[in-house]
Amino acid sequence: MNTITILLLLLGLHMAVTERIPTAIRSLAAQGLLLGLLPFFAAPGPLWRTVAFCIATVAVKSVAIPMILTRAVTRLEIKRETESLVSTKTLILLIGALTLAAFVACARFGLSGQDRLGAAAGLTLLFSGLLMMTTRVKAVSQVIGFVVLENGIFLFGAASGSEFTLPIELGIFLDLFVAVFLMGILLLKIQRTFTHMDVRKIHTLKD
Amino acid sequence: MIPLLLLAPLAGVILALLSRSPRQAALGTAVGAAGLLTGAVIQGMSPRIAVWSDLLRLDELGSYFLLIVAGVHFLCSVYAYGYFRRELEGGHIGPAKARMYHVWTNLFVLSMVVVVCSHHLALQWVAVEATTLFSAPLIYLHGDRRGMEAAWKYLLICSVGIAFAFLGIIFLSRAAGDVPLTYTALPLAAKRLDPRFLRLAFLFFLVGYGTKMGLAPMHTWLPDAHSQAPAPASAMLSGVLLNCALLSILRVAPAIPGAYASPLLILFGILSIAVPALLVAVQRDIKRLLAFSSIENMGIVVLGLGFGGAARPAALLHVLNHSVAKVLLFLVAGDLILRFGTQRIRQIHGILRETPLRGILLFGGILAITGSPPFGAFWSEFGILVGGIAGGHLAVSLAYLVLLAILFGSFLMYGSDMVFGEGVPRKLAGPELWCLLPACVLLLASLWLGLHVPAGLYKTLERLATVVAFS
Repeated sequence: MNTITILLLLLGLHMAVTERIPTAIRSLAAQGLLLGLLPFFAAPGPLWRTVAFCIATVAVKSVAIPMILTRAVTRLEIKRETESLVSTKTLILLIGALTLAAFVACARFGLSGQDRLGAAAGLTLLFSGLLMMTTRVKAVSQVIGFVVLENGIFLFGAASGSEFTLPIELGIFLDLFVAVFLMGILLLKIQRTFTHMDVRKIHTLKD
Repeated sequence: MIPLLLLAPLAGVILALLSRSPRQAALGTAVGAAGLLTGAVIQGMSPRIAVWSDLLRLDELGSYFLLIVAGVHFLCSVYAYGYFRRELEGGHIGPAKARMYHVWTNLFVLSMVVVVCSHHLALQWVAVEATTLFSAPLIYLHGDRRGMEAAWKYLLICSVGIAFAFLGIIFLSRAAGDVPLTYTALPLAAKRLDPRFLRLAFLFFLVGYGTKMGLAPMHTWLPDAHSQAPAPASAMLSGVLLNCALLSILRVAPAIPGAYASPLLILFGILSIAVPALLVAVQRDIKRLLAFSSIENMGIVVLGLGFGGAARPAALLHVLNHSVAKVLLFLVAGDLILRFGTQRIRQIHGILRETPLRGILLFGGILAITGSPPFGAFWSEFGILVGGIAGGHLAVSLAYLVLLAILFGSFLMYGSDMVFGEGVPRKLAGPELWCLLPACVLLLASLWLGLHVPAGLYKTLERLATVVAFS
């Protein structure tokens, strides 16, 4: 469990700092695989349930979403995030500070041991996802940031032991999948009508 | 009952998918909407609570919100028939897209029915996220640049907001332990729950669902999304979707200590009234103007809930009054935009001289939304003020009054510019019955709610106010 958490955290850090979008998508897929292993460490339940969760997680987070993103990236011929609004150094410092804050917060809320590590890592991923969404210029990177944020919440939820019935869990996966699917469609459409994919230039609607 | 309520919009989806023309699709939506409205009225009149499995449950509060959803959906479906007929004639939209409007709208309504019927809070979360997903295609229906920008912002900002609400659900389940996360079980166990996690949960609920409700400062997506969607979709987004997000906050309220929740609600409420009060004066687009007014009205509702006491039933009444007046305004605005060929306020004038009925509808709608007597919103806004003063929130109540006066002035200025004055000589098409009829019904409803708040409604609202009271 701890190994998985640390790997998830490292992958998150990699995505936050890398400039190459295809590598970031690969890290995202790897995160999905690792998250799929989490149900096996959760509170013991019937095996079919654990396996179903694992399959749903891997199918959505590690197969479907990376496929949608890869398709968008190849269609749009984007290879790297050319500019970020802040430098990599600042980004690493910020994430370091946020990680520390996440651990302090989790300690204050009386989580201990394995749970504390998982919850803090979840919060850190959430923060770095938000950071990616706000500092990246390319719309694809914003979608990746959104999925990292969702992964963070998933990890946080798993570590704090929140569990719902199967229909609700499946609904949550379906929502995430459809959200990314729609974002993927919009990405391609916006590209076709705007011929650029720089969110700084999306400001026709400003007051 | 609940399976039937879900079946009605589902039938609308299927009919719209099977239809061969936009006209048939519109008929399918109207049939589904009529079915939903009938079901909602029957359920509203019956004293029994509808239950379907342990996930769905429709109590009186849900029924109240469902009636608003069903009523607005029905009127909008009638309006959409006339609206898209003219859009098609004008060549603003293709038949395939006009048909897709009906498919997405029915799915959107289906997800809202699930929101109001959800017993389990996580299921409600799934449904609220689904409302975002099904309504996003409505915003970029026309496929132009502005619509896509608006849809992109909407999808991204609301999804992140809703993700925060999910964090709230995780905290709630941490606080609840073995207690199921249903709106019936949580309040009963409220005293035993860990207060630290409860407070965190409420904060995240408020920020998360508040984003979806358009509360300032998370409102930035709302004016774009509501101004870019086609008029009937804007009306639904403003008139009923915001209510659904509000209901999601109300469902958790009884488990939260009031001493913690009230100041937060008052803060978000007054901020959401102040931001539009400042920004309304510089608007140039009629639909953006209406969108800012939605932020303001959601602020008023949240402020009323924060005041508590007598302001609470008034806040629930304001939900209805806002829906009636705002849907009316969006429908009239959509009609005027088609007529004048522009959304710019300055290019719309002299409506009363050229088409008196539309002039009356627009001016009446503006009076209704700003809470002037004799329209319904006057009573609910007044009730919130009285509740605020009685609750000892004198400074906030005064600020509320001043901000309302500023908004009233701005809206009256825009309204008189558009309604009165010299008209531009224009070749206007004959009256479109299907567009004007729903608007007339809504204006009369708002007037009726102002002249005479039905005693039964008021009793119901007072009962509901105790249901949503903080612990």
